[in-house]
Amino acid sequence: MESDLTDADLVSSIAAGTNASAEASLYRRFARRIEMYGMRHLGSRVAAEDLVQQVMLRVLMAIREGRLENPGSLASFVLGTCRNVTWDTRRAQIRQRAIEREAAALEDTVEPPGVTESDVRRLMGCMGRLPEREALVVRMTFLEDREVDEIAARLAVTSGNLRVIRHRALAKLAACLEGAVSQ
Amino acid sequence: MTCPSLSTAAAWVLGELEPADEQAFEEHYFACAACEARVMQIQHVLRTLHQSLPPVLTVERRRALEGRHTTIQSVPVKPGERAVIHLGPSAPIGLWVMSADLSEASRVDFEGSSPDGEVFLSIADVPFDRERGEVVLACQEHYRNLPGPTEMHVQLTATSADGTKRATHYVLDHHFQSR
Repeated sequence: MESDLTDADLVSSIAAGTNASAEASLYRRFARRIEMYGMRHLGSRVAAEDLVQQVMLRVLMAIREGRLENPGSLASFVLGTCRNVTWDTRRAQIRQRAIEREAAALEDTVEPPGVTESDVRRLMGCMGRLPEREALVVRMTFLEDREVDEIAARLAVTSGNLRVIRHRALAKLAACLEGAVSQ
Repeated sequence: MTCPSLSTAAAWVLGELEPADEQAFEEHYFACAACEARVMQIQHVLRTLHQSLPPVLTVERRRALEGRHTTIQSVPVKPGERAVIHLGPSAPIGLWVMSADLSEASRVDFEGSSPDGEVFLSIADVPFDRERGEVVLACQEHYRNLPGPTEMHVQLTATSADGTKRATHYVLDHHFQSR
């Protein structure tokens, strides 16, 4: 199966031009990772989608032209390309334009794809199962948009501790949602 | 390398890892389908939270909500009063705007109970609008699926900086139109 191909196999197939579906496999393997990287570093879905296109194009060109010296290090090469393109993107201030475009698009959007009313209900159920302090941190951070320092002062913890509580709470919510979906 | 924990994935998504940890995470993440799935899980939680309407609204959320929906009902309620909101497919969200003297408040706690006195919703340290003296509770059409009475007796307890507490009471009732 395609998904069983190693990164090195994919690179060899694309470079040799012997497997027409290898490029599609490469895209499927890395597109989401690149998109999440873009969300993290560019803070916008539109900018992240642009990043996917730019990175995939550069990676494909590099493979086709034989510029990827070690086919086994494909993942590192993709990451390095992400970093370079992200840097270029920031410098060109594309991020700002993307955010503006996204804001305009949101005007007409009731719900982004992928989140349903039942997701929201399940999440609220999962929040009800969090320890009180963690639920409070999630509520104040993500539902009330309060600043870290304010929440930390309210709970008498340091900002660093507050972040750790928040990471744990999000991890529990993610695990709970996953469990709720699979049940 | 062992996969980083879901907590670490959350920290990365929020941009709260130290630079060296971030670099290590990303090097692993780009070669790991399992970690890709973890990051997707965290993103899904964040998107869902973003779409969620909390029971008690901040001034900013209320403003954004009222700007997006023209059919939103806002029902003012004074202390000691009773108010009714009618919800249905054409009016999925209603806001109870409870007024109180909050000029000295540093914190407000919310408690909702059934007519026979059983507390079923308790929210500490809720957002409030000090200038307008308001606490806004959002009621949504899909609450029709929740167990419990439609009539809620609310107590708001405002605590001032010197520890003085002042409680106000309201009766909020919501009726659901048939679909």
